[in-house]
Order: sequence, then C-alpha cells, then structure tokens
Amino acid sequence: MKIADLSIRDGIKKAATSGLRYQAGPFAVCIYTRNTSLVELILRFYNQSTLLEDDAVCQFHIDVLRSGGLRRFIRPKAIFSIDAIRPFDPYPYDQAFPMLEWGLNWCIGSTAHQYLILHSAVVERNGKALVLPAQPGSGKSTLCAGLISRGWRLLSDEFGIIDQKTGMMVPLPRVIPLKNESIELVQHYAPEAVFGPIFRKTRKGDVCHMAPPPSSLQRQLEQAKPAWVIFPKYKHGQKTELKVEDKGVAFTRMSNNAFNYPMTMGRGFQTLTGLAKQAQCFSLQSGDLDEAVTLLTQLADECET
Amino acid sequence: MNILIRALTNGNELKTFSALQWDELLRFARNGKLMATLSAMINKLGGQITPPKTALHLFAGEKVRFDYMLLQVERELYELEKAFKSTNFPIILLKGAAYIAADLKPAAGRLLSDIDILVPKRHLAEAEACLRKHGWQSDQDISAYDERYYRDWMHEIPPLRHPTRHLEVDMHYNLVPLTGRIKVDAEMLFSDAVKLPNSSFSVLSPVDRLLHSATHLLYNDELRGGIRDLADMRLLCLAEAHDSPFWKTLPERAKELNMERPLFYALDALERLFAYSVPSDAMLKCREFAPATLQLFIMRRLIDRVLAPKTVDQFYVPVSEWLLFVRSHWLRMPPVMLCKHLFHKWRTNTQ
Repeated sequence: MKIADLSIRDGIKKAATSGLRYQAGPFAVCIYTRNTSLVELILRFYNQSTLLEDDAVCQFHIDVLRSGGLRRFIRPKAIFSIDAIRPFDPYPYDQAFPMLEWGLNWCIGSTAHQYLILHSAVVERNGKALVLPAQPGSGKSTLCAGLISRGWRLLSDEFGIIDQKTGMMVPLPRVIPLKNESIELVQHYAPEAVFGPIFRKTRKGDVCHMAPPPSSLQRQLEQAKPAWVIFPKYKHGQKTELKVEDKGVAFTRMSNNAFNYPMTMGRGFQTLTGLAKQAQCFSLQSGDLDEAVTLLTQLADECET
Repeated sequence: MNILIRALTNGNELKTFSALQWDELLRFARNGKLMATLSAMINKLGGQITPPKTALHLFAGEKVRFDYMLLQVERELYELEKAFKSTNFPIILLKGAAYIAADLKPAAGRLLSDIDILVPKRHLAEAEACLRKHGWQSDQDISAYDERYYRDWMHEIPPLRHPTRHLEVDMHYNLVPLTGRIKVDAEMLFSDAVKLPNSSFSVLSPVDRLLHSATHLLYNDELRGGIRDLADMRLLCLAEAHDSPFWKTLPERAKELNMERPLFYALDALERLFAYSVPSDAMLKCREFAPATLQLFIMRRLIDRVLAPKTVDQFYVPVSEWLLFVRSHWLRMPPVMLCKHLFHKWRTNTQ
C-alpha cells in the first residue's frame, strides 16, 4: 500500500494514534504528531512511498510535539523527540516540517554506521549512479534538483549511502531543501516539479522543499552501482568546466566528506579506495545550472553509446 | 516488568515476541542507552533468537559505533597510562572504564561517554598537572562560576580532554560531592582496590564497585544513569555466587563508607524491578538501611516511574524528574548553599 492510498483524514488520525509508518529508503520511520499541516506535507511529498502496517518494526519513532506551558499561546514551538531523547532545541511550531527532515537526517547520521555515509547527492541515469560529494554552499542541492528535473533518478540529496558489502549506492529519496536564492532559480528551471511552502527565516535561511519525483520514490529499494564521482562547486560567473580528478585526491576528498569515516575504521578505507578506482572522478566548476546539467547528462549518455 | 527488563533478564522470552513487542523493545533500548547491550546479549544467545530485519539493521549500526568506542577507550587508557608513567600513586578506573579494562560482565555492549578515574586527593594537583603537561585541556568556555563549582564543591575537577581525541577524562578524588549529606573516606577505597594485571591501573574491590554504582545512580542528579546503571548492578551481583563472602561484606562495607541508604535503594530496586533475588541474609541487613515508610513509598514511586516506565507513553516524566532534581541537589549541598546555587543558575539562565 502506498501513502497515496491513505486519505488525509486517515493519515492525520494515524499520526495522532498508532503512528504514521512509512518506508524511507532502508529505514522504516514512524511519526507521531497532532500537527495536521505537518502530516499533510508528509502525505503530499511522500505519496508514492510504501505505507507500512501499524505493527511494522521501525528504526525511528519520532514525536513532533507542541511545547507546553504558557508560551504555547504566544509563540508555540515544535519539539523533535526520538524515544524521549531530544537532540536539539525546539523550532517555531510552523517550521515543524523542516525540523522533521533535519531531525531524521540526525537520526540516520548518528545510527546507521553499518553504511559508509558521504555528505553527497546521488542521482542515477541508465542504471549508473553519479555521486556528488560536496561541502555546504557548493550548490549540491541545486544541481541535484536540476538533474532530477531532466530525467535523472533521485537516490538522495543529502546522504551518499554506500553498502560496504557490495559497494552499491543505497537510495534514500526525500525532499530536497532548497535555500534562499536557489528556490526561485529551481522553481524557474523546473516549473513542473512539486514544491512545498516557503519556510521563512529558519536556522538555515529561507527554505522551500522540492518533492522527490514519484518514480524515484517507487524505485527506492533499487540500489545503483556508482559510475562517476564528481565534486561540484558553484561559483557565480564561472565557466562550466569538468576536470578529471586524480584518484588519490578523489579518495582523500571523499574520506574528508564522509560523516562516519573514522568510525568505520579500516572498512571505510577499503570502500572508498574501491569507489575511487572503479568510478570516473571529476571536479565540476560551474556558474550556470543548465550548462552543468547538460554537461553531466551528455557525459552519462556518451557512456551508453 | 517493562519489556526491556524482561528481555535483559530472560533472553528466551525474545523467542515469542511479536512484531509490536519488538518495536516497543527497541524504543525502550534506545531510550535507556542499552541498544548495544541488547544486541550483544542477543548475539550471545546465538541463532536461538531471530530478530526482525529492522532490529538487525539497528544492531549492525550500533555494533560499528560500539567497536569504535571500544577502540577510543583503549586508546585513551593507553595514553593515560603513558602520561602517568612516572607517577607513583594509585589510579583507580571507575564504572564503564573499569568494566571494560577489567573485562567485567557489564562490559558487553556498555557505551560510555567519558573515562572516570579516581586519584588520591593529596596527589590531585600532581595528577592534573601531569595530564595537562601531556596535552589534555579543560573546556575553554567553562565559566568562572562552574570552575569554582567543580573545584570547591564537587568531588571531581572540570573534565579534561585531549584536543585530538573525543573521550573526556573525569578526574575524581572522591565518589560523592564534598558538600553532600554523605561523607566517604576515599582512603578506604584505595586500600581495598584491586590492581589490574599488566596495567598500572586499579579498579575498586567488587563490593565497592557495587556501592559506587548505587551511590552514583541514587545520589547523583536525576537518576540520569537510568536503567543502564541498574542493569550494570544486576550483572555485578550476578557475578557473585550466593554463598560468596561478597554478600556478608556488602552491608558492613556500606556502613563503613556511609553508603547504606543508596545500597538499600539499589538492592530494593533490583528485587522489585528486575525480580533479582538478593541472598536473604544480606537483604535482611540492608532493610535496616531503609528510610521511614512514607519516604520509602515516595522514593519507590519515583524510581519506578523514571527507571522502569511500563509503556513508551510514560517515557516523559517531567514532574518525577523535577522532584529527583530537587532531591539530588538537596542531598548534595546544605540548604543555604543550595539556595545560592539555584539563584545563580536561575540568573544565568534568564540572562
């Protein structure tokens, strides 16, 4: 059963009682909340994800609560809680959705250490995965949003999850949080995509979420073999350029980029050297989204012919 | 008995768990910081238990984290040993670090966030200087008030950490705050300590280990160690045969160290919550350490509510936790000092 098969009323009821349980890549997530606009956004964005049974065993049980006390009437807050552990300060109540998304990132990043987790977007074309490891501010999300609006499949915007046994990329298709000026840019570039409301003045500035394409959600259990590792860097006015990256340098950059590289001890080294050897490694500089998307799409399609 | 305690005390029960029960168990385990312990226990039972896929997925990630933590603990102990090489006073490892270094029962899956050590008070300055010389530092941001709070009132100095490593070292010179209701003669702990083979560290004697864990859980703030500390204590007790001299010594030693009350609460909680049966002679003696009926009633209610909630909906215990917070401070400092301390904390929090 898909989330889309659930009426909004039933979804709200589930979230307030037994919990709204759904599949997010390799994770089963259960959300409890009485915040109806939050539930509506989850139902809208993840409509093609699998809805799980009420007794499905979940990795993460997340409560999104409303703060108590007198303040609730003046400036209500949303509290993120996983099994009564509250890892960060409350958000304004109307920012519950971005809080939930960042909170789920925290849950995954602090527990799923059997994987090697890169801070990276991952997209796929013709069965081959493109890994885009990047620092914050490098335009990773914008580029990722651009690529999926031109036929690439979204594996993840945030986490490059590598199955260390097989070296395959594990999908975790979720909404893409676009920030500040990239909101308008992407909305203009991909007018047919689905966008959520703009959350103003969050901790990361203005944020607007782009929905994952339905087909990416439907194929979220389908892993992909990494064929390219490309380090993107957006720079205003920069000519779009793809440069071959030295394998050793690519390995070092990825090891610095992986959230849990030290924790995986020797194994992460094996995984990343394997990836650097197997994939074509480039660095990409660009000042134009369309040029970058076209260039990467050409690269992928040339490989086919 | 809540589902986590059921699983920890009788692993065989897991064979019959439904999906919903597993789901609840995992939530309790995360809440109680016992995920790795649970996972280690299930591993030990071998193929008898078949956890659901999601549980195995969580355990796999937890195992990586645990192994990494073990490596960090070993590294930190190695560095500490090196730093203390030229000193000649005893250094006692406490709690988690002791369980791991001495390979005691609670070590399996036991996560720890810092290394607790105990040094003789007269060597405290030397011990601190020694670590600072070898690169350990205290947090630069610590306020003058907090610095004084530690140094004048507590039984430890502000945490020290080496800038290139993660684990903090908490250096103690006593097991209880100096200003607190109970006074412990730390010298006695050193005279009974057990030297570890092939190591320059010692650990507390088996009896003192249990007394320390009890005092830590029941006299420190808010029962924060939670169900995990109680699970540790159960394993420390299980390591002793019922006819062991351990049980005869325990109540006597509690008197010598002024730890009668926490010992009573701990054993009482083990009996009630874990269905653990303390040898009857020892329990009879320890009952003499119990408080008056009303106080006992209230304390039991608080302990049950905070340490062993029955369902996941009871994880939140704001009122109980607040009462325990007040109690722990009440036990820790005389009333006038407490007022001053709370006033200071209130003022800095509202600034």
